[in-house]
Amino acid sequence: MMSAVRDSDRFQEVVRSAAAQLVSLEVIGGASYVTTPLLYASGAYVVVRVERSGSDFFVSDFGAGYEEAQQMAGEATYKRVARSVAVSNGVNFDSFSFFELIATEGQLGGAIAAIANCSQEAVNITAMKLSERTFRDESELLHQRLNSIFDPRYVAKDVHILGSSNTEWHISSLVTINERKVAFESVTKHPNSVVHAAAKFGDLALLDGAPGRVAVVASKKLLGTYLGVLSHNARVIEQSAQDTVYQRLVQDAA
Amino acid sequence: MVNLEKLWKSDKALSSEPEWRIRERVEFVRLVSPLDIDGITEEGLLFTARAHIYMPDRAVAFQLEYHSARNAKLRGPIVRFDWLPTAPHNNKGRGPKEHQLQTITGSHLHSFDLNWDPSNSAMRQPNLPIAVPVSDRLETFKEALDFVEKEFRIKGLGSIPPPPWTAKLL
Repeated sequence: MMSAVRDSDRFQEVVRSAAAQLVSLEVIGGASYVTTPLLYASGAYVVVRVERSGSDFFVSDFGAGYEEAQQMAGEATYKRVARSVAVSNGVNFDSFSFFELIATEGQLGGAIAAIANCSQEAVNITAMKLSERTFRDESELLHQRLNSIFDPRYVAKDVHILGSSNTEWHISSLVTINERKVAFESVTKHPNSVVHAAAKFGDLALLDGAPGRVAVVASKKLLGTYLGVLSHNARVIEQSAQDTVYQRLVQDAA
Repeated sequence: MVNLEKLWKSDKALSSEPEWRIRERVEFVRLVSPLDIDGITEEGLLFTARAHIYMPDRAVAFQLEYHSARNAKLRGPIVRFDWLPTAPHNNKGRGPKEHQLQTITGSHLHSFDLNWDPSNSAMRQPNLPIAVPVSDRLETFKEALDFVEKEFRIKGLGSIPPPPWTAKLL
């Protein structure tokens, strides 16, 4: 019985100690820097600065979120995102780099949490948008690759095809040679990319005279079980495949 | 496609004598220089450093960056050294077992090797998420520069002036 109590005390002590470590304070040059438990996408902790502002407190991320975005070459995206994050959270973004807020003593805890959340949210949305830009670039690279393999007259970009459900699908690149049509789509390992491509391929597959469907991925191994999701209704190749593989896919199309 | 691994492993040198630039109403200052390999200034390859003007003798981030004009997958840092940073780092559940879910509070290195994704021929996203602590006692800016010069394989970093740190009266 005593042992159970001791174990319980020890457990509570460990949890209390871990919880106490989640927030820390450091004073640099007269300003207070609060390290919060929030993490930017990179794994860096979100730090918020508190300064005096008359009888109130000036709370900001001192541009640290902007710097995180700049490290990812995403500062222009960040500025757009930050403005909208600031508006939706009722805080200020100063157009240069700061999320900021003036708070009373009674509001200070909430203000620190709000600024930290805004800075984190803006950086993480920026990281997601940069990853989408990568996808667009990969579609462009795929199109260029197809143009180098086939006569560019046969390679159409950004084509729209009505699927069996009457849904209009965007196709990144469509190769048409002697009535043989093959839709090539660049697909990333991100679940959204896989699921969207799988839905598109599935709907196209049900068409009479359906076009050939090819998912082009960076690495099949990296897709894990998603490879099976894609291969239900499409053939899957890696970006590094030889030109002859691309040519065979078009020749094989019905 | 550019071989980032090859760029990383090559001996490099500053192509210019970079200066710290102050931007209006921004407390972080930045220094940027292209890099040479075997006397050729490489397209898209940069050394950058970032400091906070009100945090003297600490909080400098040194990066080697590659910016492909054509491929967004190859844009951004390929290695980073955070010298005495204000913000600690957490690898979450990634990286070497002994450094997972730990708060790394001092200087730390987002190394190329730990953040290189060979199956994707690109750096892990976002923003080199895996770091390891650096145990060397690097107490001065010069010591930090010497560490970066060796670790990043960049000659001539010793000539870089310290950031324009200043005291702020609050």
